[in-house]
Order: sequence, then C-alpha cells, then structure tokens
Amino acid sequence: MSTAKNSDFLLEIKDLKKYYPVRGGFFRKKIGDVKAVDNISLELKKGETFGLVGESGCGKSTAGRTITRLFKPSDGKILFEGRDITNIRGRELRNIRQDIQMVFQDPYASLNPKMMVGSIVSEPLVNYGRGSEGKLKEEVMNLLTKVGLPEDAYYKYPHEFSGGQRQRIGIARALALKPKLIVADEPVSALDVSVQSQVLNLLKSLQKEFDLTLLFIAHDLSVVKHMSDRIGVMYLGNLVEVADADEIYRNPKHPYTKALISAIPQPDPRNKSKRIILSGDVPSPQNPPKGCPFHPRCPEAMPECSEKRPLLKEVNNNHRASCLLYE
Amino acid sequence: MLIYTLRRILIMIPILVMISIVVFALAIAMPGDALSGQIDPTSSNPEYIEEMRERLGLNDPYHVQYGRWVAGILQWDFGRSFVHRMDVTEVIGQRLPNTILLSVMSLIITYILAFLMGRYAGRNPYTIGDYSIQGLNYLMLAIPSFVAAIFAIFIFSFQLGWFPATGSISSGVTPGTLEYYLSRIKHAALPALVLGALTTASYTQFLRNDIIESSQKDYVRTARAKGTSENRIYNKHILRNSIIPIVTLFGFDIASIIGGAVIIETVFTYPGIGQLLITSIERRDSAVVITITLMLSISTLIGNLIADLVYGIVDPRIRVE
Repeated sequence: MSTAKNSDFLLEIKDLKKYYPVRGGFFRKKIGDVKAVDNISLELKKGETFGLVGESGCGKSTAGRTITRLFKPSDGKILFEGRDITNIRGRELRNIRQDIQMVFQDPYASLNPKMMVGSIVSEPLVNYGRGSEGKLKEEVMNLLTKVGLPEDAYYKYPHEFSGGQRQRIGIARALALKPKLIVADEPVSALDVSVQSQVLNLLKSLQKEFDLTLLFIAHDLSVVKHMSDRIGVMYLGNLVEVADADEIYRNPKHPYTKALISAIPQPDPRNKSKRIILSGDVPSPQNPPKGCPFHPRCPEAMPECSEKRPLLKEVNNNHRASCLLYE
Repeated sequence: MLIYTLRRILIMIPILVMISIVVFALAIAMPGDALSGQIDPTSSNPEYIEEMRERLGLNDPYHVQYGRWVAGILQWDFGRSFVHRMDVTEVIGQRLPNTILLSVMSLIITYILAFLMGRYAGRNPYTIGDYSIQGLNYLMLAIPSFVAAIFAIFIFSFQLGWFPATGSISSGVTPGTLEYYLSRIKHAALPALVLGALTTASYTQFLRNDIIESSQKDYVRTARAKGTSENRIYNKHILRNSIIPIVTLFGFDIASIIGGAVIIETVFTYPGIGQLLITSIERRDSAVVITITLMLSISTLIGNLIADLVYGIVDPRIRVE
C-alpha cells in the first residue's frame, strides 16, 4: 500500500488502539485493560475541520492525545503526510511536533502559572531554535495581536487573564510554530457560552489564515456543527459513524448518533421533536460488551448484535457507520 | 511590596510583646532566681541574702520587674551573667558566630543533599534509586540526633580521623590566618553534617513529592506538546515550581535548626549558643537563659518573615501590590 501518494490526506489513522493496563494484587500484575480507544480509523484532508464528538469518557481526548503522540499507541498506525509516526521517539518525535500542535481543554491548568505569557508563547520557537532574540519578541507580540490580546500581555502572568483570554494564549502558543495540524481538545468546554463563540470564531478565522487542518474534539454537538466540515461520532472507544457535517445532522444512521442528535435542544418550543432516551449507563471500557459495544442500550438492537461486531462501512457516499442494520 | 513588608513587620510588634511576657513569666516560674545561682552554699547568711534580694529588686512586684527588664532590653542591656561575670551580650556575642557558622553549614549541606536526592527521586519515582533514597531518608529521620552524633564521632573522628571530635578551633592557631578559618570550618563540619542530615530527610521528601505532583500537571503536558525536551521540562517547568516550597521552608526551619543545634553542640562540646543554653540552665544563670530564649523566639519570627517575603518574590501570583 503506497500511502505516500495520497497527498490530499494530511493525517491517516488506521485501527488505532490505546489500552491502559489495570494492575492489581500484591505484585501489581496486569489483570486487564481499560480500552480507552478501541478502534479508530479516520483520515483528515488538508485544510478541513474534522469534529470528533462523544459523551465524556468515550475516549475522544485519549484519541486526540494519542494522535499527537503525547501517548504511545497500543496498536494501529498513525500516518502524518504519509509518514508513519506511530512509534517514533526522541528527536524525531520532537521534530514532528513542529507540525502537530494541540490546544488543551482546561485553560486554567494548562498554562504554567510561573511563566510570563511571553515566554509561554515563545517557548516552542525557542525549543526549535527559530527566531533570534529581538525577532522572537516581535513575532510573539504579533501572535498575541492575532488572537486578539493586547501586546502588553507579553509581560503578564496567566493568572491575570480570564478563561477566554487564557485560551487565546493557548491558541497563540499552538500557532507559534505554524503547524500543519492542530488538535483542539475541547477548547471551549471550560468557557462561558458567550466567550465560547468568540474563541470558536477566532479558531475558524485563524484556520483560514494559516491554512490549518483542525481536529476538533468536543462533546457539544452544536459547537461541533458550527466548526466542522466532517464529523465522527465516538462511543466507548469506537468510531461509530463518520459523515459530512450536514449529512450527519440531517440523516443520522447509527442509532447512537440518532439519539445524540435528538437530544440537541431546539430553540423553538413549538418544534417538538421526539427525543430518544437511552436507557442504562455507558458500560465499563475495561469490560466492554461483546459484539456491538452499543447493543445493551440500543433501541434497535437485534439478536445478532450481541454476537457480531459491526465494522465501519460505507452506507452511502462519504457516509460511514458501524451498525449491523446497514450490513 | 514595600507596604506589605512594612505592614508585615508592624504585625510582629504585638507578637514580640506577647513573647517577651511569656519568656519573662517562664523565668519567674523557674526554680531559683538571679541570685540563687551565685550564693556560696557554705556561707549563706539569710539576712544578707534578703538584703541582696531587696537591693537587686527581686522582691518587687512582677510587673515592676518586667518593666525594668524590658526597659533594659530596649537599651540593649540584657543583664549580667553571674556565672561568666560578664554582660550577657558579651557572653552570647562570643558564642554566636560559632552557632551561625554551624547553622549555615548545616543549611548548605541540607540544601545540596536534598536537592540532589529529591531531584533524582522525583524524576525517577518508584525505581530502586528512589526507594533507596527514601529508605535512607527515613533512617536519618528515625535515628535520634544524639545517637547519630555519637556514631558520627566514632566513625569519622576515631576510626577515620577525618574530623576533630570536639571544640570549635584547634589550639595554637593565630586568629585571622587562613589556617584559622580552615580549622573552624573543619571543626564545624561534622556537627553540621549530623544537623543537616536530620533536616535533609523532610526537604528531600518534600521536593520529591512536589516534583512528582508537578510532573502530572496540565502545563507540563502542554510543554511536552510544544516540543520541549524532557530535560528542559524538568528544569524549567517542574523544578522551578517545586523549588519554591523548599526555599520558603528554610524560614520556618530556622527554629528547628537551632533546636537541633542545642543537642548537637552539647554532644560535640561545640561552644555555641545551644551549649551555652544548656550549661546556663544547669547553673541557674537566668539572665543568659532568658536572653537566649528570647533570641530564639525572635529568630523564629524573623525566619517566618523571611519565608513570607521570599515567597512573594519567587511566586509571581502572590506578589502583593
């Protein structure tokens, strides 16, 4: 398979798995795995925004961090611009980080409280020996204005900023190296709704300006819809449905996606859509159900769902779902 | 910052007053008084003693005595030592440099040992190296200082002959020469090592735990995602944050160092403040005892003040405008 030729894909992920060992007993022997990411395959085209949604604990953050190689994958493949980065380490890994940056969820904890904003934003540049002393400061101030912060933010500390401003600092930091891919891990979930839209629109305009590819992780469906070209839905470490943003909202295939979409609050009170209420809880990722991981809660479950594990298959053009209903 | 400092110092005044009352009350409660220490037991004429009491003002009401004592202190007059037949300031002044040398050396030893061990253990937690360091720490913490001191004397002085076992200076060296200073350091080294080893344990454990905790912080993950090298992450992002509590710990530790010095100096017969305190208590030299107690209390206060101010300097978040 010559993946290098598929130049329109910036990132390809194949059967990615991330398991955490569970240890117990006196000798801390391995007694099982938490299957945080069980099986994910997706491709990101250059310049697109891919939204990854799912409820909390479904493994979307783990997926994002594994893709940026903050975690080591347990299995599967990650190709960046056709190059296998699944198992690279050390210098090679540090070099690839120039192209893959991340915006983190919690803007309060993810900035070092004892560093000035200027050094936080310039550190990536220093790490790779980019920019001389004088130019560095100019570049950082440039970045700060780009994300809508005053230039004198350079000399301030993170605690002097509000949540939205901090997230702007985080975005400026991620942009500093002019990466090709940014993984935004719930960048607005810690912010006020009014501030959310500002930060989202900032991300959108910066994406256009810097020609970025964005992997956007969120649990808020309306946020994802606003941002994404394509959307992937995760459930219990699995990708259950992938489609264009409009398509997935208009025509959800997987029963889980249907339930999620039906739960989006409608602004018009007369427009009463039927909500699908799922029963039960998300099963433990340490001991996922046999067959389809969703079958214990699925309103459309069939007898074979508890036996056969569905694969992500094309339902109609560019719309894939992993459900036995469509096999 | 300046206003904060001034306010912080002003707050100390009422505390000082309260301390002086407590110290004075303790002195009153002590068996014997300034006179009983110097009475010749063979020729004690009760009438003469009573007359002396009256003359020295020891029969005055307590608040009058307290007022006189405080007034003296404010004029830098701490009374006379009846044992040494000198002013208390002079007696203490002779011993103080020795104790300061001992404390500073023990602090340096503590910081070097704790920094090296804590850094290693924090970066490599739950490894054999970490467990060995922890084991060593608990051992140092568990052994009483006088036992450790005696072992140190036995091993390093008697067996190996590296350090002198007692005193603060070799006889026959002229003050002011290089040989003189080296001799002083050599005499202070072994007690400083024992004293430093005791405090090292808590510092090391503190630093180790803080490094482990910091290394799981979100901003460390951010640093990693920025492409920061592991060495730089540990030195710049983690260590800089973890060093803060250690730096300030020293202010609070001054008291325990001096407390430790009392025991160590006695075992090593090292002529410092601690040894002076013990001998003065034994001989009922109450002026010296009161002054040293007051001095230790004040140095604890100053230590806390320094800790607070240093904290404000190293942690940008609590810099008070």
